[in-house]
Amino acid sequence: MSTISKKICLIGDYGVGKTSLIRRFVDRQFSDKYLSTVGVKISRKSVEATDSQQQKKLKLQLLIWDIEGSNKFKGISKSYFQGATGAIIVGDVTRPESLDNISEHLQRFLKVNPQGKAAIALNKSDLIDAEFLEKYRYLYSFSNNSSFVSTNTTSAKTGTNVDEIFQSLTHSMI
Amino acid sequence: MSEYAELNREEAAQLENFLNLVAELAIIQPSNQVSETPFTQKQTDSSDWDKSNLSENHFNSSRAYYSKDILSAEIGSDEDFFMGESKLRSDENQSSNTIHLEAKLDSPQTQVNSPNYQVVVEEIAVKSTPFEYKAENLNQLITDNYADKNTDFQKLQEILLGDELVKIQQDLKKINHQIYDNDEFIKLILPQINEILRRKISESKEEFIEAITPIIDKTIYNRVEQDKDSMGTALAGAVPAAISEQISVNTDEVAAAIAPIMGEAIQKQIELEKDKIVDALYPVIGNTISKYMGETIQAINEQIENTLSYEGIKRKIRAKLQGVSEAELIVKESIYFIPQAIFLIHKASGLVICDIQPSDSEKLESDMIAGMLTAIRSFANDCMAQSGNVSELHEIDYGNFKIILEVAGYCYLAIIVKGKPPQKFIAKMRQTLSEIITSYGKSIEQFEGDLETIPTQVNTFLESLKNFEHKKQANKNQLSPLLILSLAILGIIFIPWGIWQYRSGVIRSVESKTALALASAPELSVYRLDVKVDGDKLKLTGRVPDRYLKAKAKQIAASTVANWKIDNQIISVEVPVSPVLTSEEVKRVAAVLNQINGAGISADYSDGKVSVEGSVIRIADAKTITQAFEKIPGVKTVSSTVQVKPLSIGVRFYFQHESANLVSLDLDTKVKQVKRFIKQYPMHNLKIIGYSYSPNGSSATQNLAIQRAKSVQQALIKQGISPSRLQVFGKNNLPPGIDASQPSWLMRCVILEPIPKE
Repeated sequence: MSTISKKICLIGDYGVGKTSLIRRFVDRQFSDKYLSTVGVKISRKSVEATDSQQQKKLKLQLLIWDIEGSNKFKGISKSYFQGATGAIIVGDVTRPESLDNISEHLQRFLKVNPQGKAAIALNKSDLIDAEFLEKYRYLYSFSNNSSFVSTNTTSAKTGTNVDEIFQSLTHSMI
Repeated sequence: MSEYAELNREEAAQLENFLNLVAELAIIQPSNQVSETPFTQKQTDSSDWDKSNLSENHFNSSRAYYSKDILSAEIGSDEDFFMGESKLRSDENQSSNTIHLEAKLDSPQTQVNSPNYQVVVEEIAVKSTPFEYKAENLNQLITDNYADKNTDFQKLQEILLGDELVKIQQDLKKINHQIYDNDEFIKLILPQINEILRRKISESKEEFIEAITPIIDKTIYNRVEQDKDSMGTALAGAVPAAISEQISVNTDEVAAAIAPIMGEAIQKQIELEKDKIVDALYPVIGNTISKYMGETIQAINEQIENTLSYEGIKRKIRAKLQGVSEAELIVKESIYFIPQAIFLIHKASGLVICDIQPSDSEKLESDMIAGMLTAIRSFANDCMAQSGNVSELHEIDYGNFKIILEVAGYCYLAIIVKGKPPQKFIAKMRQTLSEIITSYGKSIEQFEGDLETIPTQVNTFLESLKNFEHKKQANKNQLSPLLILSLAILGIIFIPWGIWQYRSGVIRSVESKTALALASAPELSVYRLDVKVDGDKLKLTGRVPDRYLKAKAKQIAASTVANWKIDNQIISVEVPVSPVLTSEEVKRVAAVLNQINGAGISADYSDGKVSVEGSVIRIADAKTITQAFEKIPGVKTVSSTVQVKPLSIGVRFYFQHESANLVSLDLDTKVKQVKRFIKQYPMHNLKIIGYSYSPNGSSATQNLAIQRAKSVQQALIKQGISPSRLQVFGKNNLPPGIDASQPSWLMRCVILEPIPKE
């Protein structure tokens, strides 16, 4: 069984929890200390996936690019998106403006990688009520876009839906 | 008051008991009772004496006064208590009388305004017989004599207690105050608090600990908040012990606790006192550095050792060409160049296409490195490159290592190397990359993370790069074409030059050898003779005075270098001899010839002609003299007038007639003269011939003649002349040169004749 490497980017505003999601997914850890990512941090995680067409198991090595968050003064360098097969676009449910930027991030990513896949993570879901979550989930689904995979409400703190969102993105990339 | 004074002693004792009881009651009674006490402080002025009388009259009956309101029950219960107690006492003291006391303590106002106000009954019962309460009787009494009793009771109270009551009330008040006022209460128990705690702890430690445990942390925390310094001081002594204890118990925990701040602590300490840290780390760092330096120096030593090798010379030339010091090159070469890892990385995604690492060392995280390098590249390109300019990141240095980046269209090559990569390697790397792109560019472009899509040949190409060092070693033994060419040119120049050098060396040696040999010959040393090799001959040039020397020179040369032909170009020249020299030579020869026995000559030189004068003893000597002068160069003719004169001594000893004794005068003069002669001519002996002439020739004269000769001989022997040189003869004839006509004393003589030794 050969290993296939794939590049995944995490994109979103500053402080939405990109690094925390990766940390939860890769290291199974969480810390509520905020450390701003400078430039790019790269993590690696091996996962297994099943190729639905050929019905065989694949070993995937995900190279997860944790790209520094954008703010209104500074956009994200597009060159970091190059060659990425998938992206998780992260928003913070407690900060509606970060959710508003999701669509923009998605467009930027797909501009560089038209064939790429993107999942939306509505992070920090532990901080608000479930009814709002469902509303947001509905609001930030881009089902008309072929690159769109899914929208999940996630919590890096509790681990809710973290593995699921990576799993669904990985699956879509095969 | 007079009645009060009349009370007997027993009664006084009972009163005392009552007072005590009152005091006791004041503490035990509930607060509403206490609150009433202020109202009872003042006695009514309207208290009546009759009351006391009445109570005396009813000594034998038991009575009680009730308040008619709800308080009665409470009081009743008290009464029960008193009753029980009274009974107890009555059992103890049967013979004593019963004293029934009734007291009403009321404020004047309440007494006036409400007749059915609370009644306080206080009773002391000392009875000899058991008594009973009878409610009916009591009620009757109350209703009948209430007003009287009230005043009576007050009077009785006055009598019994007097000023004491006020005092009691004051004491009560004070005690209440002390208990319920915080400050006072604290004052009250303050002196005892230590003792209380101490006793409690000694009695049951565990309980005490349990009691304070829940708050101890909070207590410490609060105290720290309040006064950090003093808390610090208090705990300071225990902290080191605590830490050491914890380290011994659980090292990991302590390490984990301290670890996060180690870096900052060291940094801070460096800020505060750098030298201390330097000193502390010196032994470690010193060793590390010295180890590294030791290795490097060893490598440098090896480099220096091969200074005169091919590599060494090459380095010298390179140092000159590059304008850097040779030492720098040595150091550069000492830090070996080794490719550590080679990655072919997809330019856009940063995924590894090909990863080549030595199998023996620890593998690097190629994916992470590739990702980060790609990110760094992207960052550099985004931020550093100015618009319109395409610039690339070529190298990243870290310590001894270097990452060389060579970027192509869809991929780039990242090679981690140790040491400085030689130019050759860079060239090879570029060549390899271009070959890979030419052949497999398409698969690289379409790479999507699946390594199976990359042809294995790519690996093979890159493996060749990894083996660069080994190839370099192998190449060492092969000569490059450039080197061969330069060697050929050098050969063309240097081989003939070398041969010529050798030949001239040989020639020089032959020449010098021959010249030395010629100079060593005494006859030739004074003449300047040149030895030169001419083709295969040894040519001798120079001038000598004669043919003999010319021939001699040739002979010497031939014997010195046997296998060389000798071309003798030496010219023998007739040297015109200097007249001065000739003249001096003539004088010298003359002096030498005068050494010959009996020779006395003088030579004069002028115009090549020597004229010799003088005499010699022998004819042979005369010939020798002529020949000697003829041999002198520059002498052409010799005219000799040398006469041959035989040697003679012109000394004759004369004697007296008929006597053979020497004349004393002759002993001094003539004998010494003869002696000198003999010494002068050592090659001659002396013939001593004595003469004694007598015409008749008698034998007597013959003897005389011998006698005379002997006496001369003796005289000479006395002078130290060896007898062997002296021969004695006697003759009777006339001495030579004397004839008979001459005086006879001339005939009486001894003649000395030198004869050459045989």
